Amino acid sequence: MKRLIVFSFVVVPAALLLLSWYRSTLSLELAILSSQVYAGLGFYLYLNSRSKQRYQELSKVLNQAAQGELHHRVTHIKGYGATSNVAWAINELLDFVETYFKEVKLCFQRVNKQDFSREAKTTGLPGDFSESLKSINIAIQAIKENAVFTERNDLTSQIHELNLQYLRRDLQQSESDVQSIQLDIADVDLIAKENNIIAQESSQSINKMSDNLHQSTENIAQLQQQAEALSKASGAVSKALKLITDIADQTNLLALNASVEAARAGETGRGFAVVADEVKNLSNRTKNTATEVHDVLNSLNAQVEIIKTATQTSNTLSLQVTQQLDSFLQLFSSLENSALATSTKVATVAEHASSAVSRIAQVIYKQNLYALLEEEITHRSDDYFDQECTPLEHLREKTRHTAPSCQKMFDLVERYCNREEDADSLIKQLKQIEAD
Amino acid sequence: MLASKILHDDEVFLGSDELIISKTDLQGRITYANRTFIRLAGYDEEALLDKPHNMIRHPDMPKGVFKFLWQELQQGHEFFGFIKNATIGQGFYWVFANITPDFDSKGRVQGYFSVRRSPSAEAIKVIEPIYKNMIEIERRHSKPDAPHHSFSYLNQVLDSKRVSYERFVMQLQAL
Repeated sequence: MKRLIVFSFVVVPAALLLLSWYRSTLSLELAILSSQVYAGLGFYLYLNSRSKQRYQELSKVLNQAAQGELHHRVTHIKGYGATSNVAWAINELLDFVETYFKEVKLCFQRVNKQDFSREAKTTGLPGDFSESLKSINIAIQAIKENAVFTERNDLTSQIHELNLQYLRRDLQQSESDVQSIQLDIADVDLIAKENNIIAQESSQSINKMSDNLHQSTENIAQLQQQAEALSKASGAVSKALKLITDIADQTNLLALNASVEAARAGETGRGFAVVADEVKNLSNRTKNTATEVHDVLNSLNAQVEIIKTATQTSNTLSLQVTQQLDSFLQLFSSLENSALATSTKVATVAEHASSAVSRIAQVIYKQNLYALLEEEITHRSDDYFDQECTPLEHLREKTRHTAPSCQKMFDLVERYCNREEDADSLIKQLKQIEAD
Repeated sequence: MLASKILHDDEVFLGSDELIISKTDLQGRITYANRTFIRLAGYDEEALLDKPHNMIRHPDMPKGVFKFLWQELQQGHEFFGFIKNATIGQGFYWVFANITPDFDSKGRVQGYFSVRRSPSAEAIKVIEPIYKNMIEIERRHSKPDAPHHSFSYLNQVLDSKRVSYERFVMQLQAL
């Protein structure tokens, strides 16, 4: 082809010109013809270089795209002639590719800022471009749901953590409260028992006092009777004294008569008169003595009367005291009973408090174990060899003093930490332990 | 040339399987127009290259919208909006435009890339009266202040709907 062009456009006109020069007959026509031929050749060469330039332009745009610079385009396409369709096709492909990547980039720039409102626009893009963007939109939706879920999860776990933290604190407070209640109850029990003993002792003292008082009342009654008897006896003595006084008066009268008779007898009767005097003296002395005795008796009687009144008062008083003591006795008896009832009740309360303390301790223990478990789940490393679960050691010591269910739970958590149990079995067994 | 043109209601449509794509330099001069653009606007490529992009601007478009467009682009944001464009003849066409800054390999803005998609017909019904009100407001104010006033009106409309501009146009396009 090239040879033909060279032959027809260079060799033939050159040969013609040489021939005409040789013949010395260079005609005007030939000169015009040859100049036209050379002009045509020049134009051809020009066109050839333009086409090369356009080709270079196209390959430059494609090479730039291949290097990741998608924003270059072929322009001024009018001059491309037959290759303009290729130029436009290249531009269109680049338009789609650039639009596609812009969409992807812009969407994910927003997604990275937690903005899920920017969807990739699929309209106008053909085939795989549009399909791929649709898939990306589905993926963004999934990321959004995941983000919402994660956020919600994060929030609930924060609330849960907060709740757990304060629950444990409150439980510990309750535990120490109930423990101090337990101590107080023990004190109350002690006081109730002391009260019981005191009431018993008081009751015994009152009983003794009551007995003594009864004894004393009886003694007073006896004293009364004896005073009465004394009073009667004094009456009899009074009668006897009257008789003695009467006898003394008659004796005095007899002595008087005797002295009168002795005086009439004169001298003979002198001795008799002495006797009569002596008898008179005797009767006077008897009468005086009787009067003295009577005075003593009267004073005795007055004393007995005083004793009688005093014993009467004593008797009444002691009866009142006895009645009061009896009601005291009843009082102390009921005091003793109530102290006993208090003690019994306190024992029940103490039992309840004790079981409350151990139940709270159990709850605290379990809460700690749950918290630890959550910690382990949250921070569990995927590295199989990184199996440290040191916080568990803090609880091991406490485990010995807890209920069997707590021990079971500890063992389960330990097995889980050591990866001897999977998550499903962990939950299943936890449920079982809690249900028991 | 555009100013002297009489614009009639001859609407041409951008197909839902088509995209108008153009690029401009930082000053808004056209550096690339794709074939769909050329076909719809009616200019040939040479007539578009190096010309300001607003040569296809339709007088029904409020200046406030373009003020917001440049504001967004200068902050490095992308812009979405419904735009009415003029053809070389006596027609117009509506597009749902997305304009983004074009970065070179060193991350510097070297121009703008505009992709126009077929708009939702329902969206145009909603946006047209809003634009009309904006134009009305712009007429009442001096030229330099006009875009500011019409843009505040647009913001009032958005506030009353309790929606951001972008959310609003996205929702319209989804109609």
